[in-house]
Amino acid sequence: MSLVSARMDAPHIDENPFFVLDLPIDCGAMDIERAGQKLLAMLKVGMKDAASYRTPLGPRQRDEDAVRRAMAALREPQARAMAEFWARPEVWEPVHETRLPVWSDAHKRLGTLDR
Amino acid sequence: MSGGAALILGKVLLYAAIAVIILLVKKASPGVTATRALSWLILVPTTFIASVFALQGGIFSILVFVVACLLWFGGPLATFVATPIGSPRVASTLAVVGAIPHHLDRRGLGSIAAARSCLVLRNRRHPGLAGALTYVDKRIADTAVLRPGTVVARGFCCVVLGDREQAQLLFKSVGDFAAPLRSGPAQFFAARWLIADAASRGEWGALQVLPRRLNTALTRFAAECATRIKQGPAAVARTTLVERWLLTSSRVATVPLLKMAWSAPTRPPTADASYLLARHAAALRGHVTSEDMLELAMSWDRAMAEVPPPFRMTVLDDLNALADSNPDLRGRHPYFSNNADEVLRSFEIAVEAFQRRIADERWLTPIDEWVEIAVLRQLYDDLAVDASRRSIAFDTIRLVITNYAAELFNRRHQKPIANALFLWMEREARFARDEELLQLNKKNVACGFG
Amino acid sequence: MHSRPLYVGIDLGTTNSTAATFDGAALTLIRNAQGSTLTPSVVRFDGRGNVTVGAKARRAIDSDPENTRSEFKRVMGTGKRFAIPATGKELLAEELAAHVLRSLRADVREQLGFEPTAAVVTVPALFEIPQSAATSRAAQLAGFSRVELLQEPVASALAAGWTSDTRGAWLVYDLGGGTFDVSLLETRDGLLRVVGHDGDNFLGGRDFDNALLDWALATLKTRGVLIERSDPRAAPTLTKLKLAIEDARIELTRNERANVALVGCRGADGSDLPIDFDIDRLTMESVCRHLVDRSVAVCRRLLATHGRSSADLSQIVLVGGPTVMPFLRSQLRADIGAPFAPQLDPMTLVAQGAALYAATAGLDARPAPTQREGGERLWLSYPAMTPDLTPHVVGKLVEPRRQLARIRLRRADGWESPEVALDAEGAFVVAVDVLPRQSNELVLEGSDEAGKRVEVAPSRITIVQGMTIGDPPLSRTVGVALADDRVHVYFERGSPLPARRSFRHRTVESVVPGDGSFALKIPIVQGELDRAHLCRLVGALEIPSSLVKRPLPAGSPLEVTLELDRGGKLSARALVLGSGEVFEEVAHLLGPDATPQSLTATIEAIATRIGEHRRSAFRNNTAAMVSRLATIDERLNEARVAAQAAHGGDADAAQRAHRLLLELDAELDGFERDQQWPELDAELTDAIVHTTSWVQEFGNEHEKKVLDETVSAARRAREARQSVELQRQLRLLRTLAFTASQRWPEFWPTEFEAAASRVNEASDLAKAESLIREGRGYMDAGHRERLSRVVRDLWALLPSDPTERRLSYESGVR
Repeated sequence: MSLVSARMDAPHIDENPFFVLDLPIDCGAMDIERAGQKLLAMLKVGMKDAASYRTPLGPRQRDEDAVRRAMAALREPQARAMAEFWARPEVWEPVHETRLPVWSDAHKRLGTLDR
Repeated sequence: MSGGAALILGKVLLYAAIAVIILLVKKASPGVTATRALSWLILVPTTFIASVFALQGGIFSILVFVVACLLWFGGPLATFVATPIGSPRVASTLAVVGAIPHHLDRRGLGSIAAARSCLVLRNRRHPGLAGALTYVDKRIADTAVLRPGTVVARGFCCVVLGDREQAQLLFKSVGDFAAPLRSGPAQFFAARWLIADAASRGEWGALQVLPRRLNTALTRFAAECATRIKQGPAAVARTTLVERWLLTSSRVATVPLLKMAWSAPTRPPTADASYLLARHAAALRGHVTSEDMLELAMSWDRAMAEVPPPFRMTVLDDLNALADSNPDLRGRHPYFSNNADEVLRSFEIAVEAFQRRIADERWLTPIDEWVEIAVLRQLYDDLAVDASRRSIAFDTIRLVITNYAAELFNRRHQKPIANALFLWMEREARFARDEELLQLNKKNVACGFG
Repeated sequence: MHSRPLYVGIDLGTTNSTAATFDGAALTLIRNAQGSTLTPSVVRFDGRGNVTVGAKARRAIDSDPENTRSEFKRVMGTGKRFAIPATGKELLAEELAAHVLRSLRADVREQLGFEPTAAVVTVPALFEIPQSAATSRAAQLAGFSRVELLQEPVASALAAGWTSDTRGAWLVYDLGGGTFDVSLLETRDGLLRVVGHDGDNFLGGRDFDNALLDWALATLKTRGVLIERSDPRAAPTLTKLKLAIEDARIELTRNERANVALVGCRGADGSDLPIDFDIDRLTMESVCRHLVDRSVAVCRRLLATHGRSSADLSQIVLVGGPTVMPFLRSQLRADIGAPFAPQLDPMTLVAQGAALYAATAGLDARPAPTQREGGERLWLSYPAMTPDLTPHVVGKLVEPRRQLARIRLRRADGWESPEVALDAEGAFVVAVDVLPRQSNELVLEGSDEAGKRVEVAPSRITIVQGMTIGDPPLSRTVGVALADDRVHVYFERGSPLPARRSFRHRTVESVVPGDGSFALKIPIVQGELDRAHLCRLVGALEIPSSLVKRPLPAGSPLEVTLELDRGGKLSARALVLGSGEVFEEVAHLLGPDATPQSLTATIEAIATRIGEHRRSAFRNNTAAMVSRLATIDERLNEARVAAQAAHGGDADAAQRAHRLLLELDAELDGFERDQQWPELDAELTDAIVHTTSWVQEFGNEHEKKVLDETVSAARRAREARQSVELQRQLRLLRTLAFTASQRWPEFWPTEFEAAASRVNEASDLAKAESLIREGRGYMDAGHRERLSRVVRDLWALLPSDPTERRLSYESGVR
């Protein structure tokens, strides 16, 4: 509904476990455990390297909850299949994508005082 | 009596007469434009005479000259001096004084200046922001009769607090007021912020439909630019662009927008996109045109039988979310209107709660009444993309809103808001060919807003 | 004091409780003062303020039933209070449970020499948030400062997996005193995964005893000994008989035959009752067979839900006292066919698993050391227990960098990690090799830039390699009930705990400061159904008008955050985005108030619904529907029995009835949805005829056009069998008919008379009556428009149908 979520939400991409854990889609159960535990430990001591991850839609914040959810999802065969579907690299190969321009200094030019 | 004393007495009488005339004119004419013209007629000679006497060194004349200057330049001083300094009290006082001769919504303009000062304080991360916001908040809450200026001021407060959605809602709602009421700074600031907000995020679709709510020369120009940027040069001719641009009052500020639209590239055909998923991914990455989105939805429709059920849901959710952030997609494909029933239910629930509140006489401050109306109206507009839903929605609120507006007009003395609601109902009654309600609201609109 | 970490697990059972410890290598069961590993979950209070827990207290159930409490676990998390005359106090179930936990804690101290400060306590898989939260509170009351909860089947699975090397899918069959849980698990790469849970919250050893009791009463009756269950005067005899039968059932696990003989029992008329009879295994089997069948059906359902069959199972782990019954075992073996896991003690498996899990969660039970090690202090993070053979140890200097520049980890048997340099933040990540299925002690060795040794603290850590389970999964979906009776899901069933999520909502009603009577509610519900009123309300966040500082108009954005800790404790907060105000008060985190009166009312309502459907099913002669209704009816009878017991003050039965009724409600809804179609179809035909006639006569051109569109859209929906869409079109048709009919000159007078005839239902009678007087005047004077206003005002005073909001726990958000 427009009033509730005016911004785009794509949790299957934003929170895709493979992106959260930074793992390839053919990784094994132990890889998931190892990567997850390592990230949890790094987050716990507050290492900056672990604080964000990359997705095709841009960087996202990583927290302990997201890591734990990702580990749980990849243990579940059905959820894992779903995650694999959207994390396949060929899905994200560029196609005829036409980015529309953005008037980045509009606020400044129009004197709205907003930034 | 000496000549000097007679001169002073004469001057006093002259100034008193001018003051009385201003008051009388303002009383007689609720329309702002007429007052404006008259105030020019009076202020120009007064200022001239006062400046001549001031040059001769008369203290009293200097005083009158300064007052006249404040009346002349209060608005610009508030905008260009007090606001950038970040002083809400000074800015609002100057704006109020500057609005005396030619604007009905003095308090509202003062609040706008104060709220914009808060924005400056926020930009500087100034510790005085909290105090300034409290001041503006109180000023807004204590406004006896709500006019567009106060609405815009609340909009800027929302911007300061980071609630962009609410700010959009409020700025757009300025367009619902009668034209003479919203003219001037309120509309000017609202339109500029909405255009800057959408254009800086590349939300061209939102700009295309903006004039439906807030119809000004500037928003019409921005809408044409947005259409050309999104759909390519064939959609809008360059001559139309220039025509629209010349009609705006913000020509210098909008040169970059004009340039962008002027040199908008031809859109490449989308049919040769290699596969569906990749196009879907591209759509998620954003900044694809509505036409590409429509094409994508149709491709999914053809392929849907072969998509495994769990993925179907995410695909539909994505398309819905994309349509949500792009109003001109709504209702154009079944995949974009999956949530229309949800919107209808939300709307009905909102109306029910609203009705109960009014029945219980739980009145809000005027500005909060307006916020609630703006929310209802937004929900209504979301439904109104489809004629049959618009009928249901109209039937749900036709009497609720008309009666509520009558109550606002008669008993709560909120004539400007009531007038805006009568205008809305008049338009919708015309659409639904509801003669009875149309006539009633025509009569109500004619009662004015002053 | 132990040099290595020590982990404590507690099985807080309905009948018995057990504690176990794990030191990274071996599991040890804790024995109580009587030398037993099982402590009966019974608490007794005496007049001198002494509290007795366990076997000694259990012996007093007979002699001092008023001051001796047992089976309180069943009403955990409800508001039920147990009166204790000896102390003059009324205690909650969690306070009683705290006494049991305190006693177990003391037993651990006796055996190990220190009081544990942390523990894992187990709860049934189907415990909901209020019950889990109450268990956490009990442990805190007992003196545990850190507590984690674990589901019982997961605990038994962990213990079974630790003791035997199992691969593939397996089943944990847990039949306790009062509940039955079954879990399907899978082990892969040393990681245990819970595939699914199922169970029957009201099937347990006690039901076996009840079945035997019924049989015994019938047998005694044939001998002329009459004991009426419903007669309060027979209660003491019945209690004695019940205990004797329980003993006989246990005896039958070893012997072929058991004798029940009671002396000194008196009948209702005061006469001596001769109670003396034998039970043999065959009798027990025939009497209790249907109960085992019920459990097997649940197992089959679980397997089918996850697409497995009993042939896929590598073994079954049996847990709980009743599973030692030989006839149960043989029947299970015959019905399911998988082998039983060998050499596992069904009575203590859960506690052992809890202790193992405490290691996974790094919940060291030793009190914090009083003396601090010297050296540069490190903040370390690593898995205390892991299936991984090369886990990572991550660390960071607590204080800004001093001398420490490099670090290395060395295992006791000589293996060394490469030396790793600290990064700019003073942090490091080291991969270590650990030996399988044992406790690995690792020493940290630091050095400065020049390679000189630098002392670090802590200087040694322990990592246990072995099977672990991920985070405990949430047993039921948790979400926020929305005003339109939908549920906004925050945490799906199976989500790992702890969990925290925020979503943005909008209010549907305005909150005005000062007016103390109103509060905007954000109900939090738990359950798997998509309609809020069918889920359980587990708490509600409230935004009372007395606390808001500025008006909160409808449509204001709110950010609601729900947080669940590992123990299932729920906290919630709502942030008002406009003003930054925060509301955190969660109202009533208790089980629902299932009063006997409300239960009876609900039962009647459901019975009426079933009756109506049955009549129409008979009329239409649809056998399948009749039999489906019969099944629902049968379960309604179960609810009736439970509700009767609730009238007698049995809080446990009240909870059972409440749950059953919720399930039945959902089932009837589903039935109605399926039934609706022919009715909807007929309704559509009616509506088209009705609307067309009005619109043809009184409608304008625009309405006629909309009517055409609507009729064809409705027909499309009918062809596609889309009931939601069809309902929407029906609504539109009715609106059209209504709008057109208003132009009929007699419309408002007719509606006025109809509304006036319902005047006694009006919410404000005085106002309604004055409106009617006013309306009569307008009618006589022929003022149509004024009359219409009066009618609309009257409608507003008359009750509308129960709205979705009321159903949805009066949710104030969307």
